[in-house]
Amino acid sequence: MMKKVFWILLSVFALTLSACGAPASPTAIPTVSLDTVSQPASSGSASASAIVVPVEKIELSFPLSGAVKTVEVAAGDSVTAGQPLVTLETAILEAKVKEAEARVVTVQTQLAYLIRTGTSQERYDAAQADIDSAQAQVDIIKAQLAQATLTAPFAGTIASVDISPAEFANPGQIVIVMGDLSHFQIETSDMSEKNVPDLKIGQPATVFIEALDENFSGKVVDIARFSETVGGDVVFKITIKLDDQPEGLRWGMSAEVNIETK
Amino acid sequence: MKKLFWMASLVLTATLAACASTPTATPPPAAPATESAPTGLILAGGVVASAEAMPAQDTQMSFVVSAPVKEVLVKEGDVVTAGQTLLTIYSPDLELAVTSAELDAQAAEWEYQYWIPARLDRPPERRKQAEAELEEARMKLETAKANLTQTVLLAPFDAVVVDVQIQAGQFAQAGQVVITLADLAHMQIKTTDLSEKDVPAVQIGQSANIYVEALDITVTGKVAQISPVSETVGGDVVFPVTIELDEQPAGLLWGMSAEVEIQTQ
Repeated sequence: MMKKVFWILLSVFALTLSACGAPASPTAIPTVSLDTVSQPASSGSASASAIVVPVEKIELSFPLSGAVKTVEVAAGDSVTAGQPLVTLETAILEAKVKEAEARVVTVQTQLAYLIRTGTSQERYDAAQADIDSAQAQVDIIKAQLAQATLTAPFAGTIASVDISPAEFANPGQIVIVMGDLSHFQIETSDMSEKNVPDLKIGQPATVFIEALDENFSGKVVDIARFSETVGGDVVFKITIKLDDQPEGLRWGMSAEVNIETK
Repeated sequence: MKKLFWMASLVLTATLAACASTPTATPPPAAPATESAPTGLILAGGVVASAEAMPAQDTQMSFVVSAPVKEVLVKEGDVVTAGQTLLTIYSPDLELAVTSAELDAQAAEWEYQYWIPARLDRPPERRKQAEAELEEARMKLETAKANLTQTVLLAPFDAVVVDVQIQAGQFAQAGQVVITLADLAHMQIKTTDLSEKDVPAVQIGQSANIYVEALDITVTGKVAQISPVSETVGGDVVFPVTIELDEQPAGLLWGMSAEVEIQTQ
């Protein structure tokens, strides 16, 4: 009796489970959404994922190594062309400039003495050469001194600062990334090589900015001359300029691009 | 028998209840964050993100020249002020260069003194030259002294010593990080997963509630900065947003997790 009840209950239980499992299963297979990316080239349009980037952007680094003295800017700051951003410790270079300048004065007095007392042309030339050499030394150190200050090459906004005061900067190490955030463009990241033959500069494009949930119109302004490889696919970077730049666009936002090829 | 029946029906109802909730699994993903905050983050018109506490300023310092460490004058946890000496390295060549430059400057001084008295056999140019050479020697001394400053690491700002990565006697390579300082008195909250879809609504100056998990408290703050450039976290495009705290809670440490709700309306 007891065993029978148990089996009935168990079967009811199993039925219930299978019944409630059913409504959950007919979920849409998400592979359908891939269609937009891998459209055949003959369809009259080409689509790709893209990102928003400034037209003008740069990664800045020092050409020489040294300890960072000051960091004048933070991410988000607006800067003007030529504005100092990061400086290295320059006490030694400044002392060397003074030393070299003092050397120039010394050799100049030597020449003045030779001129008054009169001397051979050779000695006169040698003294003149000493002055030129000393002056060149001043110029060299001043040039090094100029390299110890990182300045903004154009007006823009600081995107990131990757160095702090008293840290060591290696030559070529990227310490600041900046861009002109008043002019953005759209760069594709996965435009297949199969689509590229149909693309031409000037073709109209529709750009969907995901974050703004809106479509914008633009034009193809550049097609990369060499390919990149993304996950085994050969892709070409296509640049699109928006007809009107919308408010709220940010560097790195995702976009979907659809270019009309006919 | 009766007991078994009740037990079975209980299991059955539980199963039904469990499976009933699956097809209607629509609660917004923000809900768990709110539930975990006992003080309650406001849901309406807010952007929710995970975040991390970090100092407003930190620095990983290193020497510019390679030499053995002479003294370590601070330890982890020490509070240091701007300009305070932290470490020194042993560099006899730089010290000797200063001594040598001092002697040269002294010799140049004597040479200059010799040419000062105006006499027929002492032309004024020689005096001027000696004067110029003296100036040069003094500048060389300044350079040698400037070089010697490379043997000392000074705190660039008021901070706490977070990490000392070297001991006295060990060799420090140029550029090798030997000490980390951070301004722990000014902690900020930085989001790690604020989606690009949420960022258009976020503006500098907006109020935010910050639930600090480790301290189990909710504090308030304001949006101080929105990163001008995105980062990619596990395939998602996110924008780090920095929030300044109105008042820093006691016990807030670098790296503590937080949940942030920015009031965007």
